[in-house]
Amino acid sequence: MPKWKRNSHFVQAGGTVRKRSLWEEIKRNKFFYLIPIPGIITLILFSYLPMAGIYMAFENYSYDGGLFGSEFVGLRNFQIFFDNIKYVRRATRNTVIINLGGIFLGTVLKVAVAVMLGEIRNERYRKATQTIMIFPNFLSWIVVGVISDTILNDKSGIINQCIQSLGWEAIGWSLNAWYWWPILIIAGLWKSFGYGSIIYYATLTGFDPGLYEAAEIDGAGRWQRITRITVPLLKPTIAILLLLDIGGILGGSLEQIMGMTKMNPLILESTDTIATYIYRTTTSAGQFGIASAVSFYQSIFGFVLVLGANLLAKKIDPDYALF
Amino acid sequence: MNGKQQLKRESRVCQAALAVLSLLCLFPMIMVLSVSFTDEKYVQEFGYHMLPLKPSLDTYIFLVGNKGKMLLKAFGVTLTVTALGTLYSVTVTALFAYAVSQKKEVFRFARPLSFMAWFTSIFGGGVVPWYILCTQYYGLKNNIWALFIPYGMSVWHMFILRGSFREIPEELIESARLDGASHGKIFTHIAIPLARAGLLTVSLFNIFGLWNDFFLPQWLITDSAYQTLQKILYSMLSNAQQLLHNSEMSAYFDHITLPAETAKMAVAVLAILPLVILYPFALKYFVKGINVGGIKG
Repeated sequence: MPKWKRNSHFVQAGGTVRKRSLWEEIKRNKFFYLIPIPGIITLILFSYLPMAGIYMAFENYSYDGGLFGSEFVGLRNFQIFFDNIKYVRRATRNTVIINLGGIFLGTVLKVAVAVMLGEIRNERYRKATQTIMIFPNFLSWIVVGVISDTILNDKSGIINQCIQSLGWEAIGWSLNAWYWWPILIIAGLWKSFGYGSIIYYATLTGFDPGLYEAAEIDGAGRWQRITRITVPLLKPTIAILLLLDIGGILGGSLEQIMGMTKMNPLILESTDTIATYIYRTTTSAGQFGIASAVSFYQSIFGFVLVLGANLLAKKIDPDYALF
Repeated sequence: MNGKQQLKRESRVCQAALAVLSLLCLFPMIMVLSVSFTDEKYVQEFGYHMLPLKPSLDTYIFLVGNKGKMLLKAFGVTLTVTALGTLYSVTVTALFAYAVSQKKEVFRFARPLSFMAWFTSIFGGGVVPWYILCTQYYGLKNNIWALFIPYGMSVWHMFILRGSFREIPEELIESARLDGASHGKIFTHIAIPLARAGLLTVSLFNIFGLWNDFFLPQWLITDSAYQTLQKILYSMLSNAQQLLHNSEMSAYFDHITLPAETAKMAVAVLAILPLVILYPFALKYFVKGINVGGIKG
């Protein structure tokens, strides 16, 4: 019996088991075989074929040859990759620093906000502050770029306005690369802390109120209840979200960097990430070799990171089982 | 000091801290709004301020008069993409999610297909092969389709919807089956109405995501006929600073001149406004969404 026919039995009248062919099965449940097709096609076109397209890292890509027919050059693109290792290292360093900084500070801020929200008894006050704090998450990075411009613009930004009115010299934000790690991290925090605190808040409202009552009877103050009950109980959630965030480090940041820095060449030293490095090399002529090699590197390194993070998350809570 | 007073004081500390954080979220947006209503010359000379110290509608009048056609077009493109893209993505994703929400006795490939979708969330081929396939093979370049077709399936949304479909009581479906209803009829008459909250959540995520999207326009659109609001805003932002050297972008430079500072803010206001209007209604569903499908696959 061919493999695809296995697990297809059904019981005939009289109790004998007959194998049902796949074709019969499909005809019977036609509906379920039809409806996922658009989704399957989308997954193949935009996710699985690009995976196969990783092959181009070993080609000298040309428009005539296409993705699978260009000249095979073996590891030559990786030769170029290592010739440019200085930039790859820089991009990796910036990606890791900006993201890790945001993830760790963000977790502290999100948990703190969730705990504070939990301490507020006035329902309307809580709702109002939460509503305002969540909103920035739904702004695009380009809009956040405009907003940050009102604050950091070299000439008209509010910070330089204040500094100058005090008689000091304006800060050249757009000229000095080393301001930008904190700027990008803070902007990321600003955008996401409110929304990110929702999940911690939802988790801590689910804790057993009996624990808190017992602690209160034993004379524990508010601070003790937070540090001895709330935070320890939040630990698994914190650990899992941290891991999943770290797993996703290599994915994004193109829109953030473009919106916030407008790809300002003067500050690339601290703002060029893997995503922007790939964008820059892909969109400038004759750099496809390095672009595809870095894209390959992002893909593999990202996979290892996500897999590792997920496996660790699974150890903390088997609900996050992968397979 | 007795315990009760101390509790009250600590509660005030929390209230104050949250108030400060909320203001930090609100202030920059208010500033964008007031600058857009300020006289350009005043801004050029004295910089940005919290309040429109020299109020003026000139920027909006200028934008409507001189750039009205371009902005209206971009507004139209963005709105079309948001509407079509939401409809398209929710349909594709919901159909897939309903199939994989079935027990394996009903639909044998439910688990393999779930895995097929989930796997794309942990491994990707990278953006370069994706970009070549879209532009060279699928014809997704400089047309309206390029702005939403690649987002047809979102794995995260799929899991939210799968969860909603799984919450439907089994007895309901079984009794409909016994009454002779087809799978299709059950889907349209029982599953969709009962998964309404999930569908709404996912639709709202799509609406906000597509309206704000910069990724697809940036990679797949070079033609000024298909500019979205976000892309216009980006050209204004980078143009004002005269930092952009990318030649493909220079086409946009000619479109946008004067009054640079306040116009930027006014277009940002236009880009935020629909979101602000929709937000109070959407918030409830976003909160639900992150708790349902947020971290659990």
